[in-house]
Amino acid sequence: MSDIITFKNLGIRYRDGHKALLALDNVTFSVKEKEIFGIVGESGSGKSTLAFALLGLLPENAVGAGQIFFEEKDIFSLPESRMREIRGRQLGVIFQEPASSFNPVLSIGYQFRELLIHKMQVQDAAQRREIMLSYLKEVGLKDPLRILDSYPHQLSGGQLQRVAIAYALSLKPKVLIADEPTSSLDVTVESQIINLFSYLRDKFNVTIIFITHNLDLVGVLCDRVAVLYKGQLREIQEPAALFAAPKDPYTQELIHTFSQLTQNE
Amino acid sequence: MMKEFRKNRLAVLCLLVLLSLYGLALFADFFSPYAYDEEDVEHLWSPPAKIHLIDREHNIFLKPFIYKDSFTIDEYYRRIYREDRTQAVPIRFFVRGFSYKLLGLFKSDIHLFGVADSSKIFILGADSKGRDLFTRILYGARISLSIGLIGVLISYGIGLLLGGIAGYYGGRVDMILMRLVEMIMLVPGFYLMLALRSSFPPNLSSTQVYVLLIVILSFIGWASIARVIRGMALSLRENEFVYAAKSLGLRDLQIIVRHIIPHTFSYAIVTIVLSIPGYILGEAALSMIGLGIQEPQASWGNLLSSAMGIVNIKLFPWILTPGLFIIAASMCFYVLGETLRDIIDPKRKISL
Repeated sequence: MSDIITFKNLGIRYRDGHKALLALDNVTFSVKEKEIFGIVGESGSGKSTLAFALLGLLPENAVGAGQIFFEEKDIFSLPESRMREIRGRQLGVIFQEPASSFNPVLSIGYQFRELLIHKMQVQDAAQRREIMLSYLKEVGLKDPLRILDSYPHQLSGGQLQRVAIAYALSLKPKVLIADEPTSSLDVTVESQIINLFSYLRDKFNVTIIFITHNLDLVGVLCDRVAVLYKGQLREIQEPAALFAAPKDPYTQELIHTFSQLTQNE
Repeated sequence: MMKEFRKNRLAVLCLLVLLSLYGLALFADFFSPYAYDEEDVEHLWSPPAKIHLIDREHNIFLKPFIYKDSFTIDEYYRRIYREDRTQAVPIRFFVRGFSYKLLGLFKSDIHLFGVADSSKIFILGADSKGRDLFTRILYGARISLSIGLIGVLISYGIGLLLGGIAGYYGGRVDMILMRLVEMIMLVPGFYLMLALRSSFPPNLSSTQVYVLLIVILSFIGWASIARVIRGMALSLRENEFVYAAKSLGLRDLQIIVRHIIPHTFSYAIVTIVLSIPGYILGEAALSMIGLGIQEPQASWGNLLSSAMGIVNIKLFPWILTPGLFIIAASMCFYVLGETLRDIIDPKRKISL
């Protein structure tokens, strides 16, 4: 399988007055087509910065260096107008807090419709409806008709996260970036969503970049895992190998603490 | 929300008063006994008519009537009006008078009330040219009340959009727009209004002046709105759903219009209602000093221009009634706005 995304010598700093905070330090790695690629690291390790850099949504005070190749094109230096076409249509994203990723004053169906009209140019109302219902069903929502008429606050976190995934998928992206998509959900819902990701990868042939701090999830879901620490890429391994024989001292420590934690439970 | 509103008696009363004022303005042709520019030399400065139900012989009538009046001229050449107790003139309802087009559509000549042609009824008195003040107040309401509504809507349109853009983009765009806003807010409103008005020729037609007044008032009004909306947009753009919308690749204007501006609506509705009196007063101020709506067209402001001299107020106190209408309309809008604010206030909503 060929590489779909390649980070090359990517460095990102956040300026804060005269100080500069190093968020990513010379990171280089590739994500293969149709794989579920995990990125793990603790808070502040730069994993979210990586996602934002890929999407071109870095805050204004960020300074970047290096390249990000998407299908052999450098998208890191693209102007906002071009990036907007790639965002959503090529690179979908799912955020951590499903409850706050929706506009609270508009219904689920309304926001979905807008998306289909503006991004997919689906002008026919009946066709739009069919698309919306099919995607909502695809992500495992039982009562799609009711969901369409609901407002975000009427749905549970798990349901909203499924809706967010349906939104993202409806734009037929090649890559789906999930930034800690289950951190705010309870454990049962979390495992359902995780299963959903494997199912969707096979169904829609989509590459998934899964960002998390939870090693357990990585083991279950991912084909390969990158470990980030303080903005540096420590190692990339298949999960089994990572757990069995971590090479990097930080990864060793991480896995050690994690296993201690799970044993205590 | 409706329930809470209905519980507030004062607010309901104010809403009713405003609705009836707007109703009177809309159907001014029907409610007014005379045309707004109908002059009558026999009734210059005629005082408000006394409406009677009991006649000289203490007979009680079910239908109200007035007495025909006539005047004598006193030693200061002032007209002293006196009722002629022998000639009762009954007030009739749904009489035929001058013809008009109701709402500009239906031809009609029916008026709510009136008296026989031999006499005239001025329930709020007459002005220096013998025109019926009540009629002129109704026609004036059309201008004064509509300027408030239209003006506020235009300034809100501009304020919401520019405020939203400034807040959403931040940086240089924000900087330029906000300096512009400050330039407008810097000059005291009334003087800015005068300056703007004086930059146009003085002898415009009433329609031109009407449009011009709306433009001037909106030009002054949008600034303060834009500033508040900008502040709200600044905090709203940090919301994750704005990021989510961005990450789905929606265009900036779509995000501003769909995801930022709607969140400012509860603020907007309250401030819209609270700022309407400002527009009404602005129009009144300009018209009163003769820079706004011109005679013979009436507005609440230019009706008051004859009340600028103390002598006139002393002799003909009824010419102040347009002022009472201005006060009533402004107060009702204020009360309504305050009530809406209390109801919409998000802090209260959470505690419910």
